[in-house]
Amino acid sequence: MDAYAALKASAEALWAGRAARPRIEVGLDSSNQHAGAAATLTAVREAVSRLAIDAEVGTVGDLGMCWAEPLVTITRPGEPSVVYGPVTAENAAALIEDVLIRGNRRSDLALGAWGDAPLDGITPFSQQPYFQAQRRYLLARCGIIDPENIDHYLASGGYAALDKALSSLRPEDIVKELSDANLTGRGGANFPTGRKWDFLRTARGDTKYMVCNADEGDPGAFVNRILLESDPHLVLEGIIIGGYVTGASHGFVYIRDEYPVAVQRVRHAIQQASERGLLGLKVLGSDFSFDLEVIQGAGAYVCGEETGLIASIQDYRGMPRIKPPFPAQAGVFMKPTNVNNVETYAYAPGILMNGIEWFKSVGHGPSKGTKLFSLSGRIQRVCIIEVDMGTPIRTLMDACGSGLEEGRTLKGIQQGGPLGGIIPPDWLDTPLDPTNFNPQGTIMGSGGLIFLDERDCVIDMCKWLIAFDQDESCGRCTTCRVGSMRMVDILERITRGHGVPEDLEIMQQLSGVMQNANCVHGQFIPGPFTSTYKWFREEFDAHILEQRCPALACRSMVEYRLPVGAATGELADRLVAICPVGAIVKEGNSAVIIDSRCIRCGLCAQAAPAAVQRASRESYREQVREVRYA
Amino acid sequence: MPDYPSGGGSLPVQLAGLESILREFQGRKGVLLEVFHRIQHTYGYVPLATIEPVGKALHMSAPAVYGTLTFYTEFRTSPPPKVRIGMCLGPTCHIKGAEVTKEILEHHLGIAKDGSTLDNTYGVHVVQCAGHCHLAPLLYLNDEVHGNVEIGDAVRVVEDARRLAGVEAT
Repeated sequence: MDAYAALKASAEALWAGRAARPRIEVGLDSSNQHAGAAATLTAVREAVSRLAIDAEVGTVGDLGMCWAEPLVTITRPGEPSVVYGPVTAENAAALIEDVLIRGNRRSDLALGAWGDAPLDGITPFSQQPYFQAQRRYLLARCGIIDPENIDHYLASGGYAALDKALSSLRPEDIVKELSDANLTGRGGANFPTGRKWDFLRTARGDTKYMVCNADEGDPGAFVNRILLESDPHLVLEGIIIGGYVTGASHGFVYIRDEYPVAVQRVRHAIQQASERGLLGLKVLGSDFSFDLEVIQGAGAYVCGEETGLIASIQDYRGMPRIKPPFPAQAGVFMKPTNVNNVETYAYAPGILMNGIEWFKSVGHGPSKGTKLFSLSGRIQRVCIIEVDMGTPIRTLMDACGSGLEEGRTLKGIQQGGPLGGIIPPDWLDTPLDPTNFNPQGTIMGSGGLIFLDERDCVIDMCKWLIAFDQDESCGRCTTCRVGSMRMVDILERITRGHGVPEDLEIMQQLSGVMQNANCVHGQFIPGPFTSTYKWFREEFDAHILEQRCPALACRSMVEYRLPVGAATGELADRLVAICPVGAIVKEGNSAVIIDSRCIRCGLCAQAAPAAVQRASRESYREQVREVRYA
Repeated sequence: MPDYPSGGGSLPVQLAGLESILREFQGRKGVLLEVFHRIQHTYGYVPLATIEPVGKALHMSAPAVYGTLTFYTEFRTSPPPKVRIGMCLGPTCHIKGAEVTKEILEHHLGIAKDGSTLDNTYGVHVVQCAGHCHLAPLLYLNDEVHGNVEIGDAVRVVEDARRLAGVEAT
């Protein structure tokens, strides 16, 4: 189509024009900003003007390498770009002076170079395990283009799929293509996207809505954020194609409130796309009209459930309701609606451009394509990565996350968000594919993997997860509202050493009852418990039968012992000063701990490991037993 | 005249700012969250006195508006404390001891059960995990990010908060 060709030509000219001058690009998404990228950008600008360097200073999105942020990419004309990190306001000026004036590449600060050949001791990304383990398709542009500049997206092949769809594909062809490729929803439920779009396409009604679920509330999952902040147009293109396929005229992007940068970027992207005729009346000169708006959430996890999200868009309390009717029958304002995850929409353009065979060739198991994962917890490198479906967790942990800290052993992995579960280390070689998780009673979820080592207590983590779910329960159905509360009560009791063996039976009964909750939130709340009970039974035994936390993480079951005479003189004074709650006092010349004041922060044991011992709380165990067996 | 606790501030001034917000969204559907975001941005919180005008402008009953307002944790209906400490208690921050840090902060600043001091100078609240786990444990001191706040750094944060309160007071 002419309209698109003109847009692309001007964008490509702009992109090509950048090659003549050196470029300094600062990563400026929320992850980089948290690490101090705004100060880095200011320092870079100052350095460029002070040193009178003829260079273009720009901003880019996130590469996913959270552990080394803030990131700065420097490109000298005719050479591959080199990524440096962490570049703070302090070392930015020196780096620029070294690289662009002195010609020293600063391999000490370099993370890697794009391109295939080593560059003065800088290993190219293509030879690093972090990138070798990945297949960056959705993340291909993240950290490379400026997410606030639509021309960068257009120049890198963006909106070509939309143009192809509008000019040569019928909606039913696209549905067939997505169905044949067997693209499934990436938000956790894995519903076939082609079928979902077909429901809406064939639904009766003049007004239909597309909704993009960007309410990524799972703690420890931040894979949608990188797409929204670093490549928003990719998501928009997917939604617009969806609108064309289903006959929808209006779309909503529901973004959680905790992602203000994403809200701003997507709003900006919508405005730019509208200016270029990619949104609004007669998209790219065709007969198809579509507009989009951003809805900023306000801190409610349960709005990630599609009916809750729809209620929230309609100004109501974000409470999920019983299905049916499904959104495709009655959604936003009772009109047929389609709800998909950010990642699912982002996949649509690629399948249209590269074909079904390409999509099917990626992935090691029954599920195809790639999947984004975010690694956090006790992992050395917190990062966001994209790997083939069916890659074993071990690859992610070792190649991308660089393993656990030296000398630590893996205890479990929390996956699937707060409604998922905790899986044991034997799962390390299990391919990350939804079909491997569902039969085991757990879910692969939206992509957060939180690694736990021997310092962490799985029962405590299980309590934390269910307490989160309880807090976020909307309260509409009693099953969920009261059931989750009882579960938290019991787990709280267990972590305090007051649990009794019958508690586990009650928990199992509750897990069964909770299956009857109205929505998936309530139905999956027992997930953390059932998985922990299945795979970490011995931890429950230790907590309930022995009043002992093997990880020494449950604070009620831990004590710090400081015998009289163990810390005297100067050391005693230091310990008294170090205790943040005044639980250490001096008795004569010697420091002692007042147990009732101690909050078990462990600072004294850190400061004087020889004098203070951290141990299971023996006296407490006796007390509990006396009460129980009296 | 008795001094009722009205949610703070004098009404006429608030309504002056409110009108321009409501004019933009008058009679529209699906905009209530945005209206609340604007109001909170303007006043720092959503005064309960705004419920009726908002309901009138959007053709909703006041109880429905109130219901939506109180469902979402992001909206507060009382003035924010002078020094706000937002603690992330996400899983990574949790296993790295953020809860203990929170207890120490509350102990030192004298935080009451509702999350703030009686004079509303200091407040400690929980923020949802936004995935900045490379900086865990993480807290926000009046929107300024403090990363890698270990338990031992809690006392330093208390000092920062005190300094901030002093600056704001002058």
